Amino acid sequence: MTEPTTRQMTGPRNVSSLLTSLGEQKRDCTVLVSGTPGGAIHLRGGLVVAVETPGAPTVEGLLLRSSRITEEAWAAARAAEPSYDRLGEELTRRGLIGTGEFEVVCAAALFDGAFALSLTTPESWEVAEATLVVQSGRGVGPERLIRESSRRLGLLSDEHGSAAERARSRIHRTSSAHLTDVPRARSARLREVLAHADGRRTSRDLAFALGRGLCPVLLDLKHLEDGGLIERETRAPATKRPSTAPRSIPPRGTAPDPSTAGDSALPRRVPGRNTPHPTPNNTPPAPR
Amino acid sequence: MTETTADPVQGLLATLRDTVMGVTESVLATADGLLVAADAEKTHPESMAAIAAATLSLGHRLAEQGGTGTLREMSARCGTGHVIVTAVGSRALLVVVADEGLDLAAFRREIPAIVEELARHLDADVTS
Repeated sequence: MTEPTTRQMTGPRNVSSLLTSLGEQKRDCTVLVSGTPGGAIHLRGGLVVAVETPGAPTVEGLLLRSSRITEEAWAAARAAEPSYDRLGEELTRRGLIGTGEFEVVCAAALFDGAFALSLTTPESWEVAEATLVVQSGRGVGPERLIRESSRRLGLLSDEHGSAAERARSRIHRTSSAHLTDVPRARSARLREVLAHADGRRTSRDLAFALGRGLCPVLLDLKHLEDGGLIERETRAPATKRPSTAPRSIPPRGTAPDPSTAGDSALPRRVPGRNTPHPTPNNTPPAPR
Repeated sequence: MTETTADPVQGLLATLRDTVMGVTESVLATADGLLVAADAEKTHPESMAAIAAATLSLGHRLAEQGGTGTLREMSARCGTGHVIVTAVGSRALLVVVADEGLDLAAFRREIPAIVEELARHLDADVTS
């Protein structure tokens, strides 16, 4: 590598062609992509070994959220092996996960991260020095990664919406989808997805909450949507909030000012209650 | 933002969840720990407000002890997520709960404008 950071202004037209050319050059580097979401694509010897993006769970997220490895065990392994690149070896040495399983999880996170990045158009990108990342040591050629991402985009797009639209929208159960009567012929996995579809979460949020990949969750959601059990929706209505004006106790005997009383009165803590409670302005504040 | 039946502050909290990937919940509270508004489902907003107020106040003391300038935010990085407390003016604070995939770049980009907008709405309480 001649230059640690190369700004790609006149170079490749998109990240895909950049990855292809970095692959041909057998580079060790990290491609930093900025966008919503952005991410980091890690290459070793021209092969992609990991993709990190806020759009999809990483290896760590998949292993911890699914309780496959406990947080204590993970922290102990991290303490024993400070380098992320070799953390996999430490995890297998401790018998926390098998070599094969770790490789599978790494590959799944890698393809999933690439898919998540392909859902949006990057704003810009730069090639930086290689940084440490959790990886199994097995890389994937850029062409294969790009081909697989396109296949997944196609798989999730139909007349009801594109993969990107599906990934962006919030999911909620339909009125017909009561958790109690759905289970017939539905797997536990689909039921869990359904249970988490509360209208606040996007498919990406669901993937993180469940400790599963974005693409498999999207496929499950498509299946549930086709079955009329979930809908993609807009946000819920909001309610009125209390005022935050500075609080002062009016002099004794003064009638409360009607313009500051009523709805906009400040919430006061009432002993024995867990919710702030608006009280008239002429009572002293409750002891804290 | 147009005045509708929906509270603009509530709208801002929901916007934060829409614009920053990874944000799951947020709570707006007074600096002394009383709940103002919440966009929350799993956390208990009142408890969050009280704890965040204590955290922020400790953070100010920490910054003072460390001689590290003005406190910008208090951040708890946890196994599967983050809890971040930011001051909103001098009388309020914002708590943001996010999962481990939080888009920190987007968070840092969006939060100053959201905090300023929240502060503007809260300042209106004083003058009205």
